[in-house]
Order: sequence, then C-alpha cells, then structure tokens
Amino acid sequence: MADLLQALAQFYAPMNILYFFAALLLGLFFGAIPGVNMLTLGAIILPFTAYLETTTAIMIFAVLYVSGTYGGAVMAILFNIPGSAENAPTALDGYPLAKQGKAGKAIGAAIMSSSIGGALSALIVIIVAEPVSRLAVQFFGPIEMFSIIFLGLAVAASVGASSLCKGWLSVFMGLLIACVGTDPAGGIPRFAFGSYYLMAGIGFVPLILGLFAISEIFIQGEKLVKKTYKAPEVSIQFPTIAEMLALKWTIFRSWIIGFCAGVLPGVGATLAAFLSYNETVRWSKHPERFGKGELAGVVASETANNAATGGAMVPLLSLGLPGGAITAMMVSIFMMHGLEPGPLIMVRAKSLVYIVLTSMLVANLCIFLLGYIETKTIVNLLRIPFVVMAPTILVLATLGAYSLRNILIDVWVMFFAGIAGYFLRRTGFSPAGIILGVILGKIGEGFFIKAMQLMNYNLFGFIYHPIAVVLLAGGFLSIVINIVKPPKRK
Amino acid sequence: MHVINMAKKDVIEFMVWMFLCVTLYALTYQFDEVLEEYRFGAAGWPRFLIIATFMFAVIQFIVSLGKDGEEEAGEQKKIEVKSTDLKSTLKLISNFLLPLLYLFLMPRAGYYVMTFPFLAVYMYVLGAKKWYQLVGISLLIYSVILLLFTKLLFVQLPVGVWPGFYEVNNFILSVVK
Repeated sequence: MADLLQALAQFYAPMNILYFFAALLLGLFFGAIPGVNMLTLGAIILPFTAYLETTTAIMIFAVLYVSGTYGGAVMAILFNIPGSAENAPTALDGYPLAKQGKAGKAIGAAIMSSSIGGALSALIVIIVAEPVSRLAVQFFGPIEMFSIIFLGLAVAASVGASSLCKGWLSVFMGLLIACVGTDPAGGIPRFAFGSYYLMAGIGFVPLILGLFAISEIFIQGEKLVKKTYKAPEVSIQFPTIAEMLALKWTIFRSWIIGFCAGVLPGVGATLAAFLSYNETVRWSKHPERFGKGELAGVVASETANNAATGGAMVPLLSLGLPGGAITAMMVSIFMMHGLEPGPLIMVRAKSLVYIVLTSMLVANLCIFLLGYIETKTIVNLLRIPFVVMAPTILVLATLGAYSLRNILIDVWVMFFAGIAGYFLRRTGFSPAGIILGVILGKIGEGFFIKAMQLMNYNLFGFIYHPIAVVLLAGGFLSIVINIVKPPKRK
Repeated sequence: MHVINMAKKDVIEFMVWMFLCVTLYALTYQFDEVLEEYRFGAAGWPRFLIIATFMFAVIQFIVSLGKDGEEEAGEQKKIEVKSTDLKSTLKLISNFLLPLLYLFLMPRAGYYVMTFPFLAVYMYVLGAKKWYQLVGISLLIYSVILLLFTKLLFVQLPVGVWPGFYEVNNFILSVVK
C-alpha cells in the first residue's frame, strides 16, 4: 500500500502530469495518421527518454501504448485505414457504419469500449501481475503457443472474406509473405534473390498501408472518376447508454479475451482483436449483420485490443518478456536506466510498476473524456471531399512507409500491396487475414520448429498437452462450424 | 455494354493461384538444404503452405464452378461493365499510374519538388476543376506535411539526384529548416 501511495504521489508531480498529457495527445493524434503510428513516434522519442527519470520515461511509453492503440481506430472507421494491425477488425464494421452516416456512433462506441477494456485491464494487473505471469510462462510453452496461433489463424480465415476458402487463401498468402527472409531454424535466406532488403523480410507496416490505405484510394478514386462515388453522411451522434448496455456481454467477453491474449508474450493485441471479433460473430443472434455495419463488431475489437495493453504489462513487468514493439522499447528504457524488468522489479522498484499501471488506468479514463471531444470534431474530416483526402492520404502513407527505414523499397512494397489489395478486395479476399498471416507467420513457424524438436517430430505429441489440445480443437471447431453453418457473407 | 462471364473470372483466378503455387514451389529448391538442427529444413514450412494453398485454391475453384452451374440453370450471373469515353478512360488509368509515376520520379527529382505538382494533378484527375482550389489546397497540404515530417519528426526525405532538381530540393529544405 505504501508503494502504491508513493506511486500516486510521483504521478501527480506537475512535470509528470505534463508528460502524461503530451503522450496521451500525441498517441491519439499520431495513432490516427496512416503509417505514422505509435511505433514510429515511440522510436523517435526513445532516445530523448534517456534524459528523463525512469518512472517518467516508462510512464510516457505506457500512455503512448494505450492512446496509440485507440487512435488507430479512428482512421479505420472513417477511411478503412487501420492505424495498426490490431485495428483491422474494427474497420470490418466501423467503415460500413461510417458509410451509413453513423461514424460518430462507431467512434463513440470505440472510445467507450477501449476505455472500459483498458481501464479494467490496468486495474486487474495492479492486483494480479505476478501470479498471472508465472502461470502464463509455466503453462504456455512453444507447443501451446503454436496451438494458439493456429486458433488465431483459423479465426482470421473466417472473418472478412467472401468464403471460408478465400479466407484461408488470404491467411496462407500472409503466411507465405512471412516466409520471405531467413528461416528461424538455420538462418537460411528464403525467397530473397540475393537482396539484403528481402533477407530482412517484408515489413507489415508497408503491407498494411498498401492493402488498406492505397487500395482504398484506388477503389474510391475509380468511383470518383466514374462518378459513382457517394460521399458518406456526417453524423456526430454518440451511442446511447442503452445501446452500450445492450452490448455489455460483448464487452465483458472481449475484455477477457483481450486480457488473456495480452498476457501471452509475443501474441498481443492483434490476435486479441481478431479472436474477440470472431467470438462476437459466433455468439451473435444475427451473424449475417457483421461486416455490414454492426456496432458489436467495433466494440468487440476495440475492447479486446485495449484490454491487451494491460495484459501485455504482466509478462513485461514480471518477467521482462515484451509482447510487441512498444513493450520491447519499454524494456530498452529499463535497461537504459540500469534496471532489468523481471521478477526482481517488484522488489527493487515496486513504485515504478504501480506508476506505470496507474498512468495506464488514468489514460484509459482520459481517453473517454478526450475521445468524446474528438468524436465531435474528427468526424468532420468526412466533410472534406475525397478529391482532397485521397492525394493527402497517399502522400502521408508514402512518407509513413519511407520513414520506417528511409528506403524506397518499403514504398514500392506499399504500392504493389495496394494494387494487389485492389484486386483482392474486389474478388472477395481478406486484407485483414493477409496481415494477420504476416504477423503470426514468423513467430508461428518459430514455435512450430521448437514444438517439433520438443516432441521429437511426432505430430501426435500434441495430445499429451491438454491446453494445446483444447486450442487446436477450438481452431478445428471454428473451421467445421464455418463449413456446416457458413455466415451470410458479402 | 461488355459482359464478363463469372465462370471465366473464376478460371483466371484459379490459373493465377496455380501459377503462384508452381512458381513458389520451384523456388523452394534454392534453399532446400538439410539442416542438422531441424529435420524439415528451411523449405519444409513454405512447401507445406504452398501445398495447402494449392488444395484450397482447387476447392475454391470447384465450389465456384458448382455455383456457376447452379446459376446457369436459372440466369447466368454476369458483370456488366459500362463503356466509358476516352477522357474517363484516361482518368481511370491515371488513377493507378499517377502514384506509380510519383514513386518513380520522387527519388530522382526529389520529394520537395515532386509532391506539390503531384497533389494538384491527382486532385484534377479525381475531379477537382477550379485552378485556385487545385493550387491553394495542394500548397496548404504540402506545407503542413512538410513541416510535420521535417521539423517535428526529423524524417530525411529524398532530395533527388537529377541536376537542377537536387539544388532546388536542398534550397527548399534549407528554407524549411
């Protein structure tokens, strides 16, 4: 209790409050710009944090993580351009809602569900960080991790595409793109053609920009030229309390999924968002409405991805295991200041742990207030004619792709992904499935290799791991259900 | 009016998948050496994915043929494509080629010189007509993005290599900084 009080006292120091709001606003703003997301911003401010106190530096990144995860939802809803991969499922229903003139409702629902999911997660982590992380590491080895990735891919294949086959083809495309580079076992170049760029693998940020932003510009630009483009109506109507109460079980279920997925190292918010979306479709009385503007789809995705931010703090603070890029940067901040995240952090710097979690809790609550103001203002972006928005988004996306590594090949990848996305979306394939395949492909193969080595290459070895059996069964069940009772797709 | 038969579209799609699978599988022979530490080698995982992709592409093709067969019993599903005049066709092609041209010219002529005309031309292709809108809005967007990436994010943007353009780009950069 004394450490918690000390943390609160430190948090309310004037300079910390200033840094807190700066990180919150920057995360909200940059999370919304295509290509320039919280990762880019995090990488830019990382060196400057060396001059700050450890608690302040870590707090900035924790707040950035929370606000950036929500910030990416805004562009996903307004323009079908997810700010990050974890916002991709949000676009599936958020964008159709925006086209129906319900952008305010979609963004409002995203704010409330993000805020609730993130705040609850942070609160729980304050209580259960240490025991939960030990359980996660004890019971989730490579075999279980591969199984959960299989479940995630099975789920991704069932959302966003016009048929289950096309969903799986989209996922396999992503998995094959992830094979470009070097293999995890021997470091042998694959599909590299002697290029150093390809040996490093194809980054998923240019792919996201291409498959969503550039392809959307091509599709809408074509409609503008053919004069079939219909501008969306602008509405700043916030969802009502009754509408949100009707989704209480969706929020609760998504929060649990998000928190649990966030606790697993390396898996994180993206898988959480897809799993939660799929479960919401499965539990819904009207699954055919999803993909056409169902508010529950937005709520499921955003609750889960923000809940995962709290869950990701569990392995990070207790065991030093980062869940993604932002948490990996937080590990480097610890090391820059002579600390090592792990079991001893709770002994050596307990107040630092509490300040991180407190700032995340307050950030989530602030998102609710700031997000309400943002909803009333940012929805007016839809009033800007697409004739002006399209070239702007294209230039921003180009710079976003270029700023990653300062090489033009990333921009070319984005452009060709845009052309591919244009044709794939018109023929019923799922860009979200491709992205999840790319993100989970590399780590999935790594876990598969370790699993095979542990099981002595006996595929039936999975049956000796109950958690893996449950997860694999879940994945196969998801496939069977989609074959037997396919939801009506667009 | 042009009419595209849905079955032909499915055949083209299937042929694309087959070409992809065959090509990728052939490429796996470039890295199929045996690994001591891992029995399946570097090519094992990609080959599994390629075979699975092939199977799903075949299933998808069979299912789509079945659907086309059902539709033939009733009314054949066709996509009607409206003919467009030459100006619209050129604009349609420009919608795709202009960004390509911009990407090609940017490293050669420099970002600072190419972006403003690209914004104006692309807006014109998409339907903006009034010259003061094209110039004014393009200039505003160009300035804001320039300040954001150069002054705030310190992103080094291409200054070009062509003589003349290199100097102009650096001049604009020095003014901004």
